[in-house]
Amino acid sequence: MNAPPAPPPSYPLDRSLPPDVLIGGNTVWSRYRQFPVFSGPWLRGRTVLFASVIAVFAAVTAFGVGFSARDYGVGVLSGLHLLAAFTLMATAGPALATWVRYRRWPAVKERRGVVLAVLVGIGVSFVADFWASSYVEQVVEAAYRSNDQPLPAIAEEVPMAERAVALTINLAFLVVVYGLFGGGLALRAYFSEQRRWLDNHHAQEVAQLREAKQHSDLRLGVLQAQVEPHFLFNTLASVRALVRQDPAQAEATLDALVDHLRSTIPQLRDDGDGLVHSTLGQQLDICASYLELMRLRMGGRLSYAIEADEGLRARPYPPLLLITLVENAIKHGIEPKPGPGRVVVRALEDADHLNVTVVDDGVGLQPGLGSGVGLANVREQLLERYGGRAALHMRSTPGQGVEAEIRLPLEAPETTVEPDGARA
Amino acid sequence: MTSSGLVAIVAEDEAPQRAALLSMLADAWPELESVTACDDGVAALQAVAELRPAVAFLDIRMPGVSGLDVARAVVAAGGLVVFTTAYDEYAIRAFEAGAVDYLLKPVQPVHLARAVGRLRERLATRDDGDLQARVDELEAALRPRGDRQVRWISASVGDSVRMIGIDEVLYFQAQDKYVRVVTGEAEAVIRTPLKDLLAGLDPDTFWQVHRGVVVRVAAIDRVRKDELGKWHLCLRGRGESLPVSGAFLHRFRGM
Repeated sequence: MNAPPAPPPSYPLDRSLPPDVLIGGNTVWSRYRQFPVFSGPWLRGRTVLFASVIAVFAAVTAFGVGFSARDYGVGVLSGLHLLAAFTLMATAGPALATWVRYRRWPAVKERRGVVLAVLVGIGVSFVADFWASSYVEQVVEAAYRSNDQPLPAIAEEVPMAERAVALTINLAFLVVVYGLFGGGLALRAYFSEQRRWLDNHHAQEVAQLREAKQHSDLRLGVLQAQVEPHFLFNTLASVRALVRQDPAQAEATLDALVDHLRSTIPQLRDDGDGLVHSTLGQQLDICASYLELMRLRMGGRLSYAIEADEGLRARPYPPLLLITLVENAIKHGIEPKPGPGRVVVRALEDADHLNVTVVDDGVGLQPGLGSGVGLANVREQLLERYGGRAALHMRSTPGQGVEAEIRLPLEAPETTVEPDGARA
Repeated sequence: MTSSGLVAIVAEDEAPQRAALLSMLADAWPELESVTACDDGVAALQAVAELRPAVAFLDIRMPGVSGLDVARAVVAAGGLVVFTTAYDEYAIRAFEAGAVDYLLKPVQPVHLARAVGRLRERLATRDDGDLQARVDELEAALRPRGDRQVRWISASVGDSVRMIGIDEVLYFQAQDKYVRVVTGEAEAVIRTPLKDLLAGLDPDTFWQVHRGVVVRVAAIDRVRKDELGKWHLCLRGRGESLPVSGAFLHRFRGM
């Protein structure tokens, strides 16, 4: 009738719970609480802990009884009984409940079974305790008699009121001992565990979805930024116009387009890994193929140079940064300027920074306000990846072009991507 | 109709595309008396002034003067405009809304023929509407997208210009006809009035605290009153203090 709409995903009993689900369980002796309540590891850990405490208590009792009855045999006997009875009391319910949990019944049935198991455990241990106590009493009494010792005074005549109070305290004590000791607290943890686990499970699902979305947004962003549709269509327009007028030039432009797409598109494939971990060499290649294409399209008005030591090409370098600067140089520097223009991309390394500059001799920056997102994205990416350790600087002399510089901190060498066959 | 007397211009900075458009246009519209090709915006403006063309095919992005500026001149001289563009969804939306005609690159003969058909119709009826207003609308739509949020400030430092990301700026302070832009490490000046600047700033990030001072909220350390009863504001980790006027004091209540 009130079956849950979907069976809640279950989790393994023999493995520890995710950290977010835990309450306590950080100390050595409470480590068993890192496992699901009423699971094998949990029961073992709890039994060891409880039995150790009870054993200390039993040892003290054994010594006390042995000393007062002047018979350490009797003391040990009552101590052992106490150990057995209390351990049974502490573990009978939880052990039964653990047995129930491993049946892996549906949620509602399991809950009922667990509660019943704990109650049965309490009943069993009550009987066992009663039997053990009366047995120990008899033995101790016999020991006293054989020593001709007077029995410890047991007040025979106690006023009714005091008896009622004593009885109540006794009863409350029993409830507390059996309830808490015998699995009451564990029962409470058991009921909240499922909820905590589900909450955690949902939170994780949401986080995973969010991450997946971010990842695909990033891929889409890179695709759009690297192969800007405007640029692609414009290049196709160029090729279309050239096919009849100058087939050789059309071929050269198509080849340059193919090179450019080859240098950008592989990054989008390999699981998006290339988006996050690319090298300076790859990024410079993208800039070079873009500039070559623009040079062809602009009819030789554009010239360019890429200057970087071969050794620097293997350095890790985030995608999108350089091509954004190069596109800006073309779009806002060279294109609006009549006559020839030049773009130079230069990579240099000093003691602790990798500096790449993109210099153009276009129209330069006009003082004023800008709302362009491209450069804002570059800054954002730098901040996200390097905190305050990376910087983007843009300087310009109006009419003489712009110098844009990205300064990256040198990464730890192990993150450097070695080119194939670099190892001997 | 022997000589139509119709003069057209084609402005396109890429030579092959220019030549292709010219040859396609010759096929699609043989009645045109002359078609003048221009390789940048400056040449196009000159051609408009000299020829007063009835029709202009204009690339939007061109060296020198943008296609929009050329369009303004064409419309002022009583001509019609067709823009050519590769891909720009914002622009296309603006074209469609403003009924300024456009062609998508690569230009294909069918599309050109259709555009020519529309031009002929409009030339015949002279049903122009307010073309100047349409170009204005278009320009507004093509201006850096949407929000007008200031992300960059190109400010002068000596005789060069430096681009400063808005998130670097600690405060702006008006001084004579300039506004000082102060960051953690440097300062520069712009001529943009503080009022215009404020319009593009996030009101939760930057507060105006004085007629001439706009400050980054996160950089404010404390506000104090001096012996003369005037309020000042101290910035986190910096020596200078900035004036706060009474009219803006309410922002600090309950801070």
